[in-house]
Amino acid sequence: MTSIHWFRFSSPASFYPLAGKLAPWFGWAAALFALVGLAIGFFVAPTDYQQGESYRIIFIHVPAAWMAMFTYLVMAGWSAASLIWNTRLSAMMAQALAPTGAMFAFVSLWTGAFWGRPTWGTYWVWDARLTSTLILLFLYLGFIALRAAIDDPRRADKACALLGLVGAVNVPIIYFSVRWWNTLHQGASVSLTSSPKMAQTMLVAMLIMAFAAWFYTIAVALARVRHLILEREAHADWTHRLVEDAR
Amino acid sequence: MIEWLKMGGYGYFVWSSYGMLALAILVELMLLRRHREQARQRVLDAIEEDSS
Repeated sequence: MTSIHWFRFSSPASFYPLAGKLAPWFGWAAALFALVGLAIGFFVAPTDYQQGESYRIIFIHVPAAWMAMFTYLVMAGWSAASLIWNTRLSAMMAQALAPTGAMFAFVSLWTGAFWGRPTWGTYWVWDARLTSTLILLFLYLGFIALRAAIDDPRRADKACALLGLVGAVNVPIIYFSVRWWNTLHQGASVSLTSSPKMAQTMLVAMLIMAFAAWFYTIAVALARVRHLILEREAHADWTHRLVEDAR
Repeated sequence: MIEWLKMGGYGYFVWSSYGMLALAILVELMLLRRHREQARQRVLDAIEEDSS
């Protein structure tokens, strides 16, 4: 059996080409899954007997909300790794995820508002689920702003890693908010402990869209981390050779 | 087709949601492309600095 030296890829110079090879595959997978998910969501899944066609927002609302929460946890994981092992690539991975996480947090709030209006009669309420998701968006934006405010990259790594870790406490609050408090937002329709409370085709379309969101996030984060590596290693010989070869 | 776009009267809400997602992805991909150019330029500047 050949052994793979995984730690080799913790060096930015060797991760750079690997990320470049992987990113397009994840990008195409995201496009393919989104296409199939939307086709099932719009043309196979039946009309909801209570909500009519407005429920079709679910196919992007739930995957976006899941992705926003999960991306924060992954970001916190990379933050922890960068604090423990002091690896630069971990901090760069956390940095690469933040904008996409913010994008999905925003989209989950926006699509939630446009779903809330026809079903609840309001675009916004200060209920626990909505408010904690808004805080998630602010945590992402704070992470990005903190990074931009500190010139020394290694100090920025440390400060952002701390914020990333501390902010992770918000994710279980979002997730369990619908159980801990009386919220206008409904409880979980899909959970590991009970059978899903929706039609089979609706669930399938939603899960395929969730995979599409995963692949999209991975593709974009890999592409972004490459650019971050180039910027951070701008004075290294290997980036000079790389850019000059491409000219 | 028009009937389908109306989404049983919910067209405004459904397409506002999907439209914003499309816009958000478009903006992110454009920013990503700009970031790539900036990163490349940073390396080119560094090459010049180091050789002078």
